[in-house]
Amino acid sequence: MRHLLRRIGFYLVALWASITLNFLIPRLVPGNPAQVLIARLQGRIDPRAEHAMEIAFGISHDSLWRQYFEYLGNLAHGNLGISVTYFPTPVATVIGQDLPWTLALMGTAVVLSFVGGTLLGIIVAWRRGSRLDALLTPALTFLSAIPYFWLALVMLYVLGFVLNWFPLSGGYDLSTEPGWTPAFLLSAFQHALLPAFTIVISSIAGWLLGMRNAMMTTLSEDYVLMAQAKGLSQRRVMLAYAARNAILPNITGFALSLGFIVGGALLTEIVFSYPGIGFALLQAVQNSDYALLQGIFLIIAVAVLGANFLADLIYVALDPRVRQERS
Amino acid sequence: MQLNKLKTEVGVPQVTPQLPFSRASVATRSVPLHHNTRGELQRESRWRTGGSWLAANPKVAIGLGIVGFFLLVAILGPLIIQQDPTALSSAVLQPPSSAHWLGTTQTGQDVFAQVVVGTRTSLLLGLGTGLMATIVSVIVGLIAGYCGGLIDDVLSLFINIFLVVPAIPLAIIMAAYFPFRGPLPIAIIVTITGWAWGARVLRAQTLSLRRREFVEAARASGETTLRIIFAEILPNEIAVVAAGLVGTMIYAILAQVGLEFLGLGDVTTVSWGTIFYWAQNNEALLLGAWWWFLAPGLCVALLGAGLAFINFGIDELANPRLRKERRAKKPSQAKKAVA
Amino acid sequence: MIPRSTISFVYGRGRVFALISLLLVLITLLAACGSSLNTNTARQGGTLTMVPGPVGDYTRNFNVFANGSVLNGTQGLIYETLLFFNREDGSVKPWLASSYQFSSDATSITFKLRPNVQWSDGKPFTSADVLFTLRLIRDHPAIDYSGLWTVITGMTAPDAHTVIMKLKRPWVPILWYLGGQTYIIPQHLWSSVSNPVTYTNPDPVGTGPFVLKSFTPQLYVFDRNPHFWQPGKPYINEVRYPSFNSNTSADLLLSQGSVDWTGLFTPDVNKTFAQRDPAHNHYWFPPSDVITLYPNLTKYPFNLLAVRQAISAAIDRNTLYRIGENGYEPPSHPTALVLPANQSFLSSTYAHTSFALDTARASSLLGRAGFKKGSDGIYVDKNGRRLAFNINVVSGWTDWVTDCQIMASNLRAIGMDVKVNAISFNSYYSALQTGSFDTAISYTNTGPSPYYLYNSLLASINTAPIGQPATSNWERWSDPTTDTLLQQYASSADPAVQQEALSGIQKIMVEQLPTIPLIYGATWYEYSTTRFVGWPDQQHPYAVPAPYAAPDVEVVLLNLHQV
Repeated sequence: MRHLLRRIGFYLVALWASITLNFLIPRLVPGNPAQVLIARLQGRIDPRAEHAMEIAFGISHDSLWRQYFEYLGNLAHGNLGISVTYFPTPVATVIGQDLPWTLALMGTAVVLSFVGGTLLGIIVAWRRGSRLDALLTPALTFLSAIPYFWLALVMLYVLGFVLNWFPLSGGYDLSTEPGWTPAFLLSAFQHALLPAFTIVISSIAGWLLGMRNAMMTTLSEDYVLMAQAKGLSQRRVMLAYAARNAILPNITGFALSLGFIVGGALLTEIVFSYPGIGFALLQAVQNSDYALLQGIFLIIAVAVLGANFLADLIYVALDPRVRQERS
Repeated sequence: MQLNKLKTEVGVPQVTPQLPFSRASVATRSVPLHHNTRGELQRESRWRTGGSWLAANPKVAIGLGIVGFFLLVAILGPLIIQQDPTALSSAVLQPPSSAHWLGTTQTGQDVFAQVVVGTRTSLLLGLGTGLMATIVSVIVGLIAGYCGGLIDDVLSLFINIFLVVPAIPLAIIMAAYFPFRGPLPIAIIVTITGWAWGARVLRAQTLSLRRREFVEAARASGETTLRIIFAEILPNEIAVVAAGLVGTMIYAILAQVGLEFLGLGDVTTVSWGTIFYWAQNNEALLLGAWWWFLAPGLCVALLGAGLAFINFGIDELANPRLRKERRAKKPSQAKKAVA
Repeated sequence: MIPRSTISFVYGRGRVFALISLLLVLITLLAACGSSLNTNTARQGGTLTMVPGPVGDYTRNFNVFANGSVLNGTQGLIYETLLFFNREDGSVKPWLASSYQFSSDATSITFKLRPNVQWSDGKPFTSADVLFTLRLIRDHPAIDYSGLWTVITGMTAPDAHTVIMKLKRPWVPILWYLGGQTYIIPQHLWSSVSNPVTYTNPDPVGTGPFVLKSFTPQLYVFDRNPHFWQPGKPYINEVRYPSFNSNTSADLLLSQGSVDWTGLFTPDVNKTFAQRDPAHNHYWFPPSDVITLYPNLTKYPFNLLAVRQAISAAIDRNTLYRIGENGYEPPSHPTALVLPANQSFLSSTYAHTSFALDTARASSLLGRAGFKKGSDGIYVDKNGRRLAFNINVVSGWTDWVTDCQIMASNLRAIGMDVKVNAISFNSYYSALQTGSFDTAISYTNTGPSPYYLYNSLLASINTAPIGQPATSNWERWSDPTTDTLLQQYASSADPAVQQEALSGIQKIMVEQLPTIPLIYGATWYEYSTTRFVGWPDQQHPYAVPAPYAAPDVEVVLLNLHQV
């Protein structure tokens, strides 16, 4: 219990640190969104208009401390501010519209990658020294060293453009209306296939290798030897004795990577023109859109912290030794 | 996640110390014992071990070969390539030919020259940043693990905060707001986002080593804390540090290439990442100019794979249970997977 | 219907005559049918898909005043302007206003509004709406992008179809901003809006040819407005705007023929687009503005005319055009007039002037100004200062980065030590505004005549001392003659007086080189005639053809019809 309380305390501090970092970084640099907008418009601007725009955008020239407390106060009310890029839409709306796509795509891809990688890792570890190990492990390692965006671009070009097997862009076929209809869900599924496939390919090696190594070490434990001596079937030993213990680090790794789902889809979205908040983040950076930037960063930080907390809980639940010792 | 995925890879013992293999002492003797053909216990000379070990582990040999090759290219390449890789010409978007081994770009620049000259920048940045991040993680991790108490609490807090702060968005934000562009901002950003993992692992290792007899002995004989940490404990963790170093280097290379691809580096310099950036901005794919982005991509992948293979070797060195079974192989034994 | 005389001929001697008459009658009948077909060739119907640019997912923002973030089509397709200015030839057409008249001293303008115009909800459009729109702009300076109320002093509406604007001083250019760039909104719906600056206007009601049919973040659709004031128009039934995150994916779709109209930069438009279907895939990139090298005139040595002339003579604009800009953006005319759009304003003195690469002239100019080449090949002045400087550019604008690299190598070749400074947009823009740069490459602001470019670039009111933010005159040109000429243009509605002023400014541009014009900026425009015809092109430049140009997008869509 004490352990849990300590962890909660830590996460609160981490949240505060993220928020503050988030607040500081854009403000340490010259320029503000009003200027960016004016430049984008390339128009004659009356100095009064620029000033008025700054007010409308919520750009204040108050001291940093005052801005900071105002920011914290707004946050407490759930007011994430108004986006400059999509002025005058509130940031919460922009995020709310993009987030589900990111979660759906990345969530599915990560789960698939984890499950696939772990299973393969178990098999490969069991058949250590076999041709499967000798082939699969280096091949997947090589794949995971390929820069993701490069892999994505090549797949898009070859499988989408040249061979026409997959749609080229978007989250769904624009002739269908979004909604919980079979037509929409089918087209959303079709459009998610290629992006998800590239994500899985490039990340599966990590899970596989982690599981493989953990398995190989576990397989040398005495209780595994004992189980085999008792005459249990290979499968039972592999799954119920070895894998069950070896999977612990991978599970916590999985919980952690859930947190990175929200932040990690940027390159996918750019290459596949897939809807989501990664692209919104890039836009926010380019347009000095502080409010949107902070909003997205906050969501990501909360997701990551939440996932970490989840990982801690899982670990406590799965491994009794943690409950007894100090971590 | 794409840039962080390699954290969950090869051999770096993950998460917290209470792991099934924590009892497997990572602080093994640096020279292995084995039974020779006469059944006697023998200690081999280091070099013989190294040579035959390399032969027995083709993956590691390949890895070292690849990295060595790129290092050679990085050192010698710009000296051999006479032409200026940024020189424009009218030979626009030519496929590979005898005049241009890897073809040309949209502005007539020679891709081969760019890849070779860019190797130095990319490699130096990647390896250098990896080293920087590892040094930071070693210092923080070891001190936190050994000292305990308040120091440990504070340092742990830092480690955990930097672990949970999402790397890509932070990297993008920082890179976009730096007043100047270039390798230095990228190096700083990658270091800031990359040191925490290694620190956490090392801290865990140090915690478990803290109570070992040799540490007690050193403490009893009056050695200073710093000396104990860096002269006693560190050498026993060298395998973990090495694995972490290589892993961080892979992360650094991929992160740097990713950031430059997004245009957050200095686009007027030549490196693998900026080649991607220009290729992407000039729609190389759409124009069918596969030669423009194929070479840099393969280089990054090869280098990353080479480093990962080296990591295999380090893992196996550190954790004997991961080693391949090399003794008298009976056909029936090949089926059993017992170490 | 065969005339009786023909019947009698058939049975008589004039058989041939009869046949010929029959033929003539048939031909006449056919011709009659044909001509009636001609008047109805504009088929009704069709759905057009357009991509103005990759902006990512949409947010439901139809606030016509939100210039940077309002959804494309709101300005023009839903809301309209009083007049239509065709920037491709400088002509003006009546639109919501059927006529306008300047008073003799040019301090007031009278607009006569078109009768029988309705809002899409059926209510009538009257002068009250125009007054309301302008009052809103006055009360909320944040949306007064053109600074209308720095010139307008008052307005009245003597009747439902007349509006009189009073100006503080004679300023003819206001017609462009007021008549061509201000969109009229309905008083009966906007009077209840508390803050028009932050209002998202989710269900827009306007006088334009289209109304909103549906909206999702990835796609929004307009339907034709049955109440539109031009009879029979629009011919098109529906306009679709799918969203894109990047040029790549939009370009891929363009290559496949799934869109009708885009405004995308694509590196080899011939190969990726035109050649895929030469019969239907077309493009046209008319010049839109002048890409200019801004020297910081307050800094030595850019205050020396000889140095500016030398720099200009040493730059190979053809390479910028062919290699830096993929052959899309030809060298600018030395007067900085956008040609051929501004052809009618070109002074005869400069009809045949053009930029030419002349490194010999550059060297002799520098020599006569007292520069000598040092041992490292770089020019040095009498006091030992090296001729070395930076060119600022935004690192994400890759074609300009390439241009700067080309210029730097041109200038290094003749003996100037030039470096390219590719920086973030924030830093770049800040440096321009506060004057903390050596030289920088940037665009210019244009309008229906060269006055707007000259005013923005050269008027001393648009500049500021170093350290203070300048609006647009970043090079810090401050010259009483220029200001007088600009004033002369702006205070007279007489085209002859205006042209005299413009000729005078052209002389200043060419002889004194306050900035160094490089190449033209391009209007990106690709279209397909597979489904629709009536597009603007080089022979019919009836509007700025880019899908992101407003309100020109309206004029183009009104002209299009199915094949």
